[in-house]
Amino acid sequence: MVHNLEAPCDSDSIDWSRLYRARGDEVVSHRPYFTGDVFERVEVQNPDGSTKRKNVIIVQHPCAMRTNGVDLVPKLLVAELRNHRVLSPEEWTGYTKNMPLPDLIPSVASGRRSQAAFFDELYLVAPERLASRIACLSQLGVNLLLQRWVSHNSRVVIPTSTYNKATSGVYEESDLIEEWCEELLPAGILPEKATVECMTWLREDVGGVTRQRMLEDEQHRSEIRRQMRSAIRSLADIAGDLG
Amino acid sequence: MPDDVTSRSSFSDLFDAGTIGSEIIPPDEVSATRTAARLLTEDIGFSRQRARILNQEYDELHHRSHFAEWRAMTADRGRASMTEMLSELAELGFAWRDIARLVGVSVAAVQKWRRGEKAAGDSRRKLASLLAACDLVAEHYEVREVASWFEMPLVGEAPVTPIDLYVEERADLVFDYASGHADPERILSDFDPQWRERYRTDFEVFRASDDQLSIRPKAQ
Amino acid sequence: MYPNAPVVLVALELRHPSAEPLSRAAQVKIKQLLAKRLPLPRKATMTSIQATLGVAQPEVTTETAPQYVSRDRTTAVTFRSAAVIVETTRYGRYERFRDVVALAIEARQTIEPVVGIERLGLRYINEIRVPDVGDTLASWEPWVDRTLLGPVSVVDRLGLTAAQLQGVVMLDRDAGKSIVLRYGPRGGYAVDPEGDLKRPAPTPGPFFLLDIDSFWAPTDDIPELNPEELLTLGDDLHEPVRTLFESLITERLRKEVLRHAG
Repeated sequence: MVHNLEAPCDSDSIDWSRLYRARGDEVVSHRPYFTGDVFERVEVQNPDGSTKRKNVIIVQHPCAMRTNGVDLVPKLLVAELRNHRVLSPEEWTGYTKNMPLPDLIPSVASGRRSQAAFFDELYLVAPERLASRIACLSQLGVNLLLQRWVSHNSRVVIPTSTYNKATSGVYEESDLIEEWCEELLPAGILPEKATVECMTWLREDVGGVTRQRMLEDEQHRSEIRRQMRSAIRSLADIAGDLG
Repeated sequence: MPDDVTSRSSFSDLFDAGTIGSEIIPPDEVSATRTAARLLTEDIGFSRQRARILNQEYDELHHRSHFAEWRAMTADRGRASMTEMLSELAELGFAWRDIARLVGVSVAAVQKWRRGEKAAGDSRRKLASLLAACDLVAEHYEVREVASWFEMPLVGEAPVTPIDLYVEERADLVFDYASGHADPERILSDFDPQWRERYRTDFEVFRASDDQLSIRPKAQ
Repeated sequence: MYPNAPVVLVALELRHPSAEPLSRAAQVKIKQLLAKRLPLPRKATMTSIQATLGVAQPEVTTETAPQYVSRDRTTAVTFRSAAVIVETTRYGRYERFRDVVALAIEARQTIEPVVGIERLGLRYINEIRVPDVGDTLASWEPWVDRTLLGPVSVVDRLGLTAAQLQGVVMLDRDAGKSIVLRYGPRGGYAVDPEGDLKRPAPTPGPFFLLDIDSFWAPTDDIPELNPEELLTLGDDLHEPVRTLFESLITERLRKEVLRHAG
């Protein structure tokens, strides 16, 4: 059967905020970089060697972003963003070269409020050049981005629910790392260290399977979250005693 | 609440006539268009508690509405502070992004509340409602691992979870599902009559040889 | 119509002289007539409790009546022994509701007709919800007409807080027609979300009830049921409802709440 490209909402209840986890100053700086993250004014290199500054979005697959679970790969694939009018939900079945990002910058009323990623304007960027992150997509946003990106490249449309199954484990990891870092910052533990700690904890073998693997199954996620919150409390107590 | 309640006279000790005076004449009965739908409006002089005194059969005929209970428990839960309520939800194992969705706010808003920032009255009530719904589900229906239950699909072939039902204001289906008496497919059809077509897919997720979750077409 | 309209249930009740319960054959025929709009048959159970002075046990009666429901479970027609009830939780426009009423009456009169009208009522139940509204009567001042808040200013001056208000007013029109307005701040829901009709269930919280019940009862003999005349009477009952509703709410409610989708 043929699937259509999906939209984040129906036309009788338009709510573009469903695409985003965080925008503007809502973005938490120590959240690990992830597919769908939007950066502004990134220096990118044209084929002729010249450079420009563009707004870009990471289109690298979530499972292909890191070498060892923590360190980012040396080059990340990004797509350029440009101002774009807001498409209606019905129009999302077309515009196959784009990922629409309506209300990307909700604080402005002007043209750059809504943008779109252009899948035929691609660049490879070293992670160090990605500095100013202005948006993170929600799980739904990431699923839609993957659907459109893969469809653009292969003409195959896969339902977002399938992408959800394949990527929600790694999305959950990002949430957990973000929480771990946030909770331990007041105890003086820096995000770089906290991230490594969290990944180590997630990769611990618990009865033959790692916690990271357990996150891929929604049946076990809340258990892992409870364990993590308990572990964080212990660490915070220890740090408090030492500090 | 019974669909049709008429009370005559204010001297019966079955009704709360208020402070008794001599020969107080009650007001005339007011005509009402009756509905088959169950109305929950309260009338002075006849409260639900007194309905129980009135008639033991009452409870057999009308199981106590979950919604009445949900409302009462929400009021109860609402006495706690925001941070206390958020803590409890964290203890249950909910993801912050799901709590945000269930309460109808952004993830950033929930993060602000966790840092102690004040929340609007409506949000407090919604958070209390969520906790109360968890209480109902856990206590009445003995669902263990409430947070896990909320984020698991009702039916393997469709990604719809109790979170999705709750967010779309179908708490009735959430309670129905928790009761264990209802057929999950019927609940899904009630929620979205098109669910089978909507989630039909030619693809599946599998674990590839590199141990990563991957996508492939389903075997024919 | 407002994107965020507060109406949760609209019901039309036609009361008629008691008739025999619909035979099995009649139920099947009616099902066929209603199949396009209301294809799901079910049995509706309605309980009445009547309590009388001096009588220890009140009288409880249960009636089971055939009911025909739309596929999305928002609209139903119920054939009681002494009434036909048409109701919907998804109102939209009067014309659409009227069509269902016409269908129901035609079905009734074609299969096993009833002999007269004892009462015709059209009831609109509105749950006005405003985000962040407080718990006191006075919190509703910006949103509904002051007259619906009773003695709120008087009690304020006396340093008292009005905690509860249940208002009922009966307004007479001409020729046997009246409107009963029930109103006041409430909590939870006016229409049970767990009832047989599906309705959106926002988290339980404060709302302002505006229950407008427009009805007619004969002043003389009980007239015959003529479907055309009945629909015209229904139109007449419907006519003042909108104006009444609009006069009881504030412009601020319109602007900030009712005109905002979801």
